Amino acid sequence: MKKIIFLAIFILLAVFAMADDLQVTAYVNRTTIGINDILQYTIEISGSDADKIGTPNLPQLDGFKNQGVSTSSSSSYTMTNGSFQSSVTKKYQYSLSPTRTGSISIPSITIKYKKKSYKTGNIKLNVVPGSNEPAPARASTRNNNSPAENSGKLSDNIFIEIQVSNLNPYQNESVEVTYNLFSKYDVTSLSFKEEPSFIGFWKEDVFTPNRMNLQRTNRNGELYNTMKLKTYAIFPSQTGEIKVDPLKMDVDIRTESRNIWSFGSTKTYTIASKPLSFKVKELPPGAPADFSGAVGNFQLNSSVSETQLKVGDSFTYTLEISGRGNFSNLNIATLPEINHLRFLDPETSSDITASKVNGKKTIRYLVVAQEPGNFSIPSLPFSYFDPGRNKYVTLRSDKYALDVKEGDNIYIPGTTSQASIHLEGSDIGFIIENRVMSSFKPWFDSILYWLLLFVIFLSLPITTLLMKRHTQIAGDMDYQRQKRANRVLKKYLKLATEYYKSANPDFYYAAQSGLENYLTDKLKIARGSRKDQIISQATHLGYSKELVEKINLMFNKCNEARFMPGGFLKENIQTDYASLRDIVAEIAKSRIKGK
Amino acid sequence: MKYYLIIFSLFIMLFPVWADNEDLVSKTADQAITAYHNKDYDTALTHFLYLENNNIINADLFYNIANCYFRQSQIGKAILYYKKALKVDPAHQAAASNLKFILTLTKDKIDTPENGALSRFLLRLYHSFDLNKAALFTAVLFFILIILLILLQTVFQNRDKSLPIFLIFLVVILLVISATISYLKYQNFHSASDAVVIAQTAIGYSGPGVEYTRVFTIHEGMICQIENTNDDWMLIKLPNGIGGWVQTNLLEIVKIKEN
Repeated sequence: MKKIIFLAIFILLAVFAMADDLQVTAYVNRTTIGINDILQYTIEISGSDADKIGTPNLPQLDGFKNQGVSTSSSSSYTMTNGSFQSSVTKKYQYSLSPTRTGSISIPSITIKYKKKSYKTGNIKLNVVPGSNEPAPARASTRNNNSPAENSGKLSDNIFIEIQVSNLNPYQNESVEVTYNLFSKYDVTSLSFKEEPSFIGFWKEDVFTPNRMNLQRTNRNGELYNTMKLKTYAIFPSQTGEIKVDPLKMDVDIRTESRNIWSFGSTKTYTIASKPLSFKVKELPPGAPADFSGAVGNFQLNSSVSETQLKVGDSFTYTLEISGRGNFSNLNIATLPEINHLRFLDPETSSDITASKVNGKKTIRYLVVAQEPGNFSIPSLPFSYFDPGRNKYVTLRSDKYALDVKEGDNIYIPGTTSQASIHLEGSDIGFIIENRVMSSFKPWFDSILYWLLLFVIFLSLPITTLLMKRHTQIAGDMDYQRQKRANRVLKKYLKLATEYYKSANPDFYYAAQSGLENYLTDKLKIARGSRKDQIISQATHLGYSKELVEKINLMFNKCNEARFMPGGFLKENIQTDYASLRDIVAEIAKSRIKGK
Repeated sequence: MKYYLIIFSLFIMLFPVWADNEDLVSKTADQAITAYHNKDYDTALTHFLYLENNNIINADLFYNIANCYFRQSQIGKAILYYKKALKVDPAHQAAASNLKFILTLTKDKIDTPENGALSRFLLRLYHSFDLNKAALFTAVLFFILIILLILLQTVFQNRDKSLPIFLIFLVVILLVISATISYLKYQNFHSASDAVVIAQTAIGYSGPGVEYTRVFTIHEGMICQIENTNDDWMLIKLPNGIGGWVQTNLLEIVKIKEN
């Protein structure tokens, strides 16, 4: 049951919302306004859907400048006959500032929502010069007795006054322009809205306040809160009549409470200064040749740090212009080229006071003396136009004579860095009286050098080989014995041959000893081994059977001849010698195993 | 016996046969020196150049030729021959000091880079001996190395080997250094990478031809490095790193003639 009721209410609400129309109206706060005032133009949209419409777009308005929009909204809910109604009101308040005087109308504005158009009315306005803003009640009651109190106009109670040093200056002459605020109200805040652009002038900002600082002053018997807003130093760059736009400020003023129920509120006003009009005079004819546009009142000073110099020394040459005038485009004649004096690029410094009018400009040259001699720095002209005396003035710097003496340093022309050269002598050395003049030939190109190195190198493998052989020999006793065997055999054979020739029976001793020693060494068996051992070893090591038999026979014959009585027969010695030789020859030919 | 003969004959063959000409050389040199004494630099130069053309490579000779050219105010040629003398004998004191003097007379200031104390010392050490001394030193070190290796195999065969191994290590290091220096010196001796401007002025172009943009103008006596050569043009690099093409006939290469 509850659900159904909720549903019914929901549907009802939706129906109401659909049926609800929007109401759109537009209105202004005043229909007659001053050109410096601000018009409040409000578009009010009410209806349940008012929230859903965005900020209306204002068309380009003729005669007005849109300064911005502020939005406010309110909602109300009503219950009628048990049904629930909501209504939203949205207000879009535009701040419009008029750009011209006369009759201006704000056209009707169309707002489209859900295929429906809503139109606002046409509003006709009258814009008058100055300010038509009604003077608000002053928060301050201290000025109650002032005569202007009764003035109902805002512009009489708060305004910007201009101080100009000269409205009829010469071209390039400095002019100081100061804007001051005068107010009888309690000003809570200030901001610059539009600053004059000074087209046709070279402009320098001299003073800009960094915070609000109101001071009480008496002006023609009236007390005001005053403040210096801006000071400019301007230099007209063209001649004829030049207009300067007014300075515009946004000022917040606290107003007095009208009754005990309302507090004092703060209201923003735009105030503007009067426009300026200058008549700039052309500089009179007859300017000196070196005149470059300096207007004012100047002095010229010059100095050099030293006049007695040595070659390579440096000194400074200083030009200083001080006074009052247009320093920002002040030019001094450049120095002519002086031979043998090198002027480095000058260092320029300006020391100009905050007024941008008074100051000092310094040009400092570093000069290097390159050659000995007497030189002079000529006098330099500087011309300016003095508006006070209404004529051109030419100043001349002092002339300087320099005495440059021979120094220790040598200046090398054409180089940027000054280098001194230490000379080895004043002339070249004498020729060398070498009459042999052997020709140089690199050894690396000669084969001999490489041959020598190769020979040196070769000695290494040769030594290695020799060493290897040496150790081999030293380590091998059998080899030694074998080598010795031949020697022993030779010895005994020689002995045997001698005995044979003399038919000595010792022949058999020599033959036997020789053979025995030879064979034991050769066959690697111990010395003094018995005959049988020798024979068996010889057989074992592969001597041929015939040879072994012959050896055996030889041994037997020797034994017979030596030890048997009557064993030695002179006639046999011949054949035995022959067979011994035969054996030795055969042994030499034979190869034994394991060798 | 036969081998000794072959080696001996080889030995003889390897040396330049100047025995016959020795007389001629000393005679010509004597004539040149006399002419120089008599301030007849033209004649002196002719005689000295005759010796050079007869394949005599001698630092003193090149030095004397340079002096003759200097006396004739041919600074470029003088610098060239001092450089040649130093190429043969880097330790030639007279040539080095004369070159240093004459370089102050050139129109273009040639900046030599400032070296630290150590590199200056090493450079002086490097230039204090010529190629053959380096070769000799290398050969001696090689000989010592071989001797040490032989000793290692024989005398120290069954002994403590730490001393000979240490010595071998030392000698190998010295040998590597010596061989490297020798190789560098040998390369330098045969190199042809430097050239001297012998004409009054030479213009460097951005390409091999006068139609290219001018890059620089250098004057007589300028020493530069050769980067590339074309038929008539040479790409050179100045000491400050700028490169340009210069006509070959305006320059002469510092080069020892090979015989």
